[in-house]
Amino acid sequence: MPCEYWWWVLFLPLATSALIAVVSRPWRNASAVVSVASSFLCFFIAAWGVHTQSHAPSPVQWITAGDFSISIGMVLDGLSKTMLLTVTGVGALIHLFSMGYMKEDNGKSRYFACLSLFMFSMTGIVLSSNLIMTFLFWELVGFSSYLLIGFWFERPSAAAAANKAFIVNRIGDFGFMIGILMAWHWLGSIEFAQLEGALNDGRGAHVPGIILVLMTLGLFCGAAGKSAQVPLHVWLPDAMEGPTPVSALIHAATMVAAGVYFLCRVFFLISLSPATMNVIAFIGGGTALFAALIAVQQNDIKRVLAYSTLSQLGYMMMAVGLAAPGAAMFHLTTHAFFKALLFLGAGSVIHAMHHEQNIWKMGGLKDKMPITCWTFVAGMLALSGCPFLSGFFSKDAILSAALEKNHFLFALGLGTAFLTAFYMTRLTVTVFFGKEKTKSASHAHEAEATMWVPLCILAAFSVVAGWGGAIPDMLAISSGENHGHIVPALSAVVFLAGIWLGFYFYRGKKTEPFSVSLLANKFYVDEIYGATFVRGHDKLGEACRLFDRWVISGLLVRGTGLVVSGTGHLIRFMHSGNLQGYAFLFVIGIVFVLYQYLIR
Amino acid sequence: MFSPLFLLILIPLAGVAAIIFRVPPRRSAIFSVVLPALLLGGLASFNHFGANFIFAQTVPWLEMQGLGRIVFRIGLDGVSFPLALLTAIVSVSAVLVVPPQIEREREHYAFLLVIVAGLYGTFISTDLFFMFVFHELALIPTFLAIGIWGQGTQHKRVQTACHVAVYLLLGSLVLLAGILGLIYAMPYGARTTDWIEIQSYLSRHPIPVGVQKAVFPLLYLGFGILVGIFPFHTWAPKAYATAPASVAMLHAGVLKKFGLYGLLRVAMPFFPEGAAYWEPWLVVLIAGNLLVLGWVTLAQDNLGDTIGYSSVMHMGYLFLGLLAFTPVALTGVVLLMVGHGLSVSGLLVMNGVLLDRTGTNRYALLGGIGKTIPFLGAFFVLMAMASIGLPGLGNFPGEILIFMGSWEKHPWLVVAALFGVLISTIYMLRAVRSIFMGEAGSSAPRLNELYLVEKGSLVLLASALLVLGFAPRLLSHGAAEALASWIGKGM
Repeated sequence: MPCEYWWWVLFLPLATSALIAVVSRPWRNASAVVSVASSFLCFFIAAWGVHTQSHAPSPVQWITAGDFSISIGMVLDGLSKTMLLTVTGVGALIHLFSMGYMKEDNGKSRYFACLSLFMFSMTGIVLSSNLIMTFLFWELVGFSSYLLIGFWFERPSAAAAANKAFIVNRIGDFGFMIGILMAWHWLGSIEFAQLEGALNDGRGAHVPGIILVLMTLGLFCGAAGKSAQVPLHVWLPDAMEGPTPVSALIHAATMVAAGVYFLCRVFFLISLSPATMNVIAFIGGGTALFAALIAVQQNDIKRVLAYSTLSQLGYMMMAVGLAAPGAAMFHLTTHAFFKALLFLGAGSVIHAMHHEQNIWKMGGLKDKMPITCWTFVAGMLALSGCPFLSGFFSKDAILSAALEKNHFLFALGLGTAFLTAFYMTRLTVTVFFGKEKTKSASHAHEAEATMWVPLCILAAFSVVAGWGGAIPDMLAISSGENHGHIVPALSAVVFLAGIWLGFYFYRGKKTEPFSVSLLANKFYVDEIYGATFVRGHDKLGEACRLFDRWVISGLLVRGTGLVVSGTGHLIRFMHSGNLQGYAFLFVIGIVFVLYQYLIR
Repeated sequence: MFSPLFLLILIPLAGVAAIIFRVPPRRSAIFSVVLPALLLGGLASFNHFGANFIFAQTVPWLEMQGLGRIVFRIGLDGVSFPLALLTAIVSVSAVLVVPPQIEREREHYAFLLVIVAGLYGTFISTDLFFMFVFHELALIPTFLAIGIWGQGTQHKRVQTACHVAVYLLLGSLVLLAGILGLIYAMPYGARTTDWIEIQSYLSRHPIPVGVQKAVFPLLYLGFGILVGIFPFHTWAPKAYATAPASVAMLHAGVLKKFGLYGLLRVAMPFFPEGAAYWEPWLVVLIAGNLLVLGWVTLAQDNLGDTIGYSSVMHMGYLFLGLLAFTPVALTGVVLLMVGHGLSVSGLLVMNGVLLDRTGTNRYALLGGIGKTIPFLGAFFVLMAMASIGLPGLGNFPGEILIFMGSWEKHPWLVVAALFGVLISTIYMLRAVRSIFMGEAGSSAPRLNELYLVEKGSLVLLASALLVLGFAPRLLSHGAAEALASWIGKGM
């Protein structure tokens, strides 16, 4: 029996957003309450639906043109249910946290309207049953992220970051759309179920190999844009200009994970092309290491976390490329918990420090804000892969897959794990331990309950989410080959090494003890892009403008005009009304005629 | 029986008469655009505009030696209804935003009503001759309005008006030659200007290939110049940057669609061999529209020129869909004509508001308007997003159908179009950022409010875009039916 109430999960946030925009905009607190209530309601409906194992509703036709149609439908399997619960659950907690964080902001109504719009878009990607519907919500996610990054749009840096995020996402979507169109053309459908069917019963056999590679690379291009993989990673660190709960929800837990989720959704397709799988694995592994290196030298609390997110997303991508989508999704889920926790903890710190984000101006917050501190430590340990916390299990699943397939990537993953433990220790020690480095650090205090309750819930999940194989069960995957104790032992060793080195270098330090400008400047990627692509494109625009102005408008159009008016002037000159002039022309005419007839 | 569609033309003309007889001009103008809109809405709620022309009526008009019969025949099907609907929506929002203290008020409203009557006439006629005549009827007040009420010094705007007039009349002349070519390609007895009859004749006796090759470029260029085909586009940005908002809306939003409509109804279906012969050239021109004009748009430093160039650039998608000529792509063309008309009108409204409040639309002088006039900021983002094809708004359904329908024949051109989408993202976001975001610019608005009529106009356009974005099926279904019968019979 299809259950129509699933539509509520999708459309309730949209209705909330519209309600806030149209009706409750002037009443800021009412808007906040409505939005938070709707986010929790959404989660409960989704949880109820998953619990009762009800079926997806029948699809609705969105556009029809004769036999051709695009529908809006839902897929409800282990993959989408896990993702749905993660998105709505973490989303609801972050809505709650935002109530406290955005308390004083004048634009609170706008904030919650955008947040609800984002929930709508994200739920749409999760539930989507076809490629076009995915693309539709994919773009909407990019748009709501644009609105939220640019939430404080009067700040030039926020405005620039919002534009950058949207444009880079659209570069990814450029490839994504090509991939979709190729899939539609060569496989004859956009529905996931039918695509999979077509490939299973051999109807995909006629597709040339090169087409398959290009198609899957196109789809990966979209995923790389959304999940901020190198070389399209540049937007994510800048996206930290948005309010911190936004960073927690969109730029850590959900939207950036959409790329990984999508690749798992179309895994049946991309796994047909070994070349693409290799590209994905190496870009993922490369991103993991690259971002972890940068994170070691960042001084802004949110930027450290942003690069850490990049690095973890690289991990997940690597897992997809290593044909372990289950491991990728497992890590995606645990990462959603602990990274949302870390960002919210950072938000709590930033709130208490009156929007100071430099970690070298913090310090000693352990005693001032104990709940924030100890939940942050829980999240940090989970992220670093402390044995028996959630991150340890999910990271193990990925590393096991790497050990099985590719030893180079395994070493890369292990190195990244070490760096992760190292930079997270650096961050935690500098922010929470030691002595207060500034006055505002010594005046900081714990925030209200709407902010620390979500922290505690997320901390609990960060600890237990890996236990008992609950998430792999739900994903309906085997939790990977068992390689005995090599992988857990090695990752425990690198974890301890990272923690120890972090403490060794950073305990009690007042400033950065050593600096590497290449890392602090993020490998100069922004500068390189600025000098090449951005500048080049602007120059091209300028060249085309000049061409349009001087060649088309000037030479051709005005030239034609001049020829016409010149002829006119010439003829006017002849029609002077001067009798002698006419007589002169008359004589010339006679001479000409005589020449023609007599002399020749 | 008297077809109610005549009223669509007669009511605006009655409004003109009322203004001449000194009825208050604004009130009669609003009445005479709202009434046809309500009438059309009423007709649409009780009838399905699909494969057949409904409310069709024929009035014999003239029989000429050698030229055949000219009849005034009207009707609406699934393709022309969306365009009539577009006329209805844009005409209401255009009349609403005419500034209250405009000079020579009566003439201004009378001109707008003549344009509206011409627009309705263009889209409900099923006859080439009357289509052409109604188009010219709408075009002439446009030139005059640019010269009388345009932006800038009198010298400059008169010059622009002349430039546009000469350009478009030349285009019309080429088109007329093409139309005559089409008519004379048929034998003496069969000659007619009624394209329903032409179609049924040509489906039995196609035009000889040699004639197709010769006549097709005339029609394509003739219609194309009126749309702003590359490289005959330079009139368009100039016209839109100079014309008063209401006139620019009616022209860029609706009247320009005449050229595309003509290509869809006449040039492409009647001259398949001609189109195939000239295809390599068309591909180049379309790429010019999509890419060269995209980059040109990128280099503009004010909103008026950005809107003008982006509007001609977006015609590239429509040319692409027409070139592919598959049912899916053509349905997309119909949807995108509507979506583009709505979104560009919205942008032009806001360009007018911005000029009125701050005295400039140059990016370098503006900034932070989102803080001072939040309503304008919100709607600008919405319209900008619509115009760059954000899902959920009006342009996306059309674009996606065009891309899907054209991929088989012209994958590279679709890739160029997708790249064009990327370029338009960059320039539109740049416009949003430099006008609405960041710190306040040197030109602060003199009034931080929108008039109620301006808000009403924007809300109307935005709602239409949202409905089209969320439920494109409302129009796509009928359009596809009409196209299936049209192409099925014609080819």
